Amino acid sequence: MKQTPREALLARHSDAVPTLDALRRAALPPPPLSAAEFLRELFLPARRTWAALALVWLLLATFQVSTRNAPARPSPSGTLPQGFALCSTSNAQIDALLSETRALR
Amino acid sequence: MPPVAASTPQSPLVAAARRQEAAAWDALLKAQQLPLYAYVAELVRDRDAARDLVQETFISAVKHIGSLREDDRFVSWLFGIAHQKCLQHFRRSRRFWERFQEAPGELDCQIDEESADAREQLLSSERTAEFLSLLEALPPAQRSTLLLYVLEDFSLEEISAITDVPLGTVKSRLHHAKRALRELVEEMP
Repeated sequence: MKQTPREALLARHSDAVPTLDALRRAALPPPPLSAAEFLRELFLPARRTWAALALVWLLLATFQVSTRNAPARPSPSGTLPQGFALCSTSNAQIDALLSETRALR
Repeated sequence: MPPVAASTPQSPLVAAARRQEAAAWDALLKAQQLPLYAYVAELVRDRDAARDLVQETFISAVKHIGSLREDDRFVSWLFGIAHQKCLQHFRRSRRFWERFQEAPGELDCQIDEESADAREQLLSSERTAEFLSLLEALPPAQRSTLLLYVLEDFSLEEISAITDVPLGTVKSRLHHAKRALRELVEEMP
């Protein structure tokens, strides 16, 4: 039976089909992951890193809770912080200056 | 086995392949793997290299399916990737790359429009054995054009897109390839 050039060309290379099947399968996109597989893929390869991060987070949370429950340090009674006093003084001076300006008008 | 390019509607499979569905890719690549390999192997004349180039083509296709504009053009797009891989392979070998460049005066040749069904007698089934043995004697650029013409029944416009050369150059290459084959046949005892 006579072959067309196309059929002859394909027949000439037909012994490569098993290799081509393997190449094709290797190139296929991976199937989508389920949620459980996704989490496993996310955590398992770096589980020590994730554990270390969790430990650091726990330490920070413990420190935060312990400092929140500690009693507040009392400030000296009847005195304002130094910065606040300076700010109040300068405000009073500005008020006085504005009053004088209005009076001159 | 007829060429798949013109006969099988591939748009649904290509649409699924765009969603990276493995089954769709498997069907699409399986339908084209042997013609694609035959094209690459006949062009580079090295079966190991051909296998590597086909594998690279498959991987590139899966990775860059977004660059395919029209789903119906999947086959010619796939062959275009393979052709580019072959050119990269030729560039690694200076001798082959020089052979792949245009022959002097090739672009000047004016060819009459050829109808697809009016195949040359040389490409008819009676001369198949001669065709295969003489194919190797053609320069790579002409061989590439003739292979695409014979293997997948691509139109001249599709061959132009696959090989990224002007339509006139494709016509010229095909004309020269057929003439060269005819001369070789006439020289045969």
